[in-house]
Amino acid sequence: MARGDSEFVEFVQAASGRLLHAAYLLTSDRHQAEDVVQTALARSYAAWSRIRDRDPYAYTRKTMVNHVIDRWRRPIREHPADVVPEQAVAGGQGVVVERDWLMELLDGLTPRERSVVVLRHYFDLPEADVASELRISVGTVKSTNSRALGKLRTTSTNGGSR
Amino acid sequence: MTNLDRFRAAMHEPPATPFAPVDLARVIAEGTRMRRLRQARIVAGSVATVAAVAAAVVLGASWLRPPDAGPVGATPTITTPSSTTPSVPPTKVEPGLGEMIGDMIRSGSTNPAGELVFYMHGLGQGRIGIVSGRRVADGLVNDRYTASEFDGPDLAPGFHAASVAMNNTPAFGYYVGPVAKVTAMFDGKPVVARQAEWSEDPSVKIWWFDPPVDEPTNLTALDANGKRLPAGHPQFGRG
Repeated sequence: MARGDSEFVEFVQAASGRLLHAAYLLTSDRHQAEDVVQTALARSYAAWSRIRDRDPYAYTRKTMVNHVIDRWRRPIREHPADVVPEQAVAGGQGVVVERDWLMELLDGLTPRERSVVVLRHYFDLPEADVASELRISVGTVKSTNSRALGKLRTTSTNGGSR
Repeated sequence: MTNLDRFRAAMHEPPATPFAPVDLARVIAEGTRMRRLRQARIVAGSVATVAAVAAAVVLGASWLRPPDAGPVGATPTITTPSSTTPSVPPTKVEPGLGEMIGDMIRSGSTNPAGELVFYMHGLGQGRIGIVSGRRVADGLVNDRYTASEFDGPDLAPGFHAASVAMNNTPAFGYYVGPVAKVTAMFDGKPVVARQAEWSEDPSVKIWWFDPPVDEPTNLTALDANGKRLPAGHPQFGRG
């Protein structure tokens, strides 16, 4: 195995868990998540000689998020529901219920809101970096994030809060 | 705990069941294919490519239409706009040197001729063009229509290769830049194109209009904030 390939394998082993988790937050679908991460990693491998000494993780993350956004724009994509259904709360299943609550909240966001929220609050990226990765202005990141968190508050108040 | 704290904590909760491990062999194989295709784009073109450029110059035409049949992305055979289409059985899609570059974009839109698809292909000497076609069940692509930039770099910011609809081909083209929406006017009303990212370069967006939008005007590109982007060559051509 070439040195570059060894480095790439190490990179995949280190980064894939977090990328898959983020992809799932973006898509709500395990198979789609695995598919988009696979695609993003393949593109990173194709560009490995260019990116290996820079920030391959940032490159792959950016590729993945924009790939997801592109899938949303395609005509055959599924659209997230406009209305978040009320959450039935079961006792003794705290983590599962919390995850269901989270996914319903995310499904209630627009694609851009969802991307901003995941980059900002899962990857903990500064607003400027989110703007750069999504190719939008910092002002748009701020307003989109604010709107998404507003929906979060509203939904929690209306039925998701425990 | 505030709602935001709770939200952030929930985001970091690990999934209930682990994800399938990344298929490294598949990733490397696909990445290698992408890399080769990218290199193929850079490699100097074939004799036929020189003919393509020469034909474009001599004819003063920007719209080069290859025969309907033949391997997708194969060395383009140049015909004048008035050429008739020979009847040759279609062949399988097999990317190779100077052929299809990047992934085929499947629109999901079908008619009796097949599913509407698009892809970019190499014209040699570092040049690229766009192809629209109809993909049938066994992977063959028929009714192919090829267009390319007629003046200036293929990847300069703006519209390229805009083409009006005809037969099984919609009005389509590609845009280079951070475009979020492609709009135009048709029958006095604004219309919005569908678009998809090119796998080899995310700044390249392939766009097309659904019927009955066949000859739109005022092609415009807008960014995510609704701001107008450079136009490039928004004039529609025809084969």
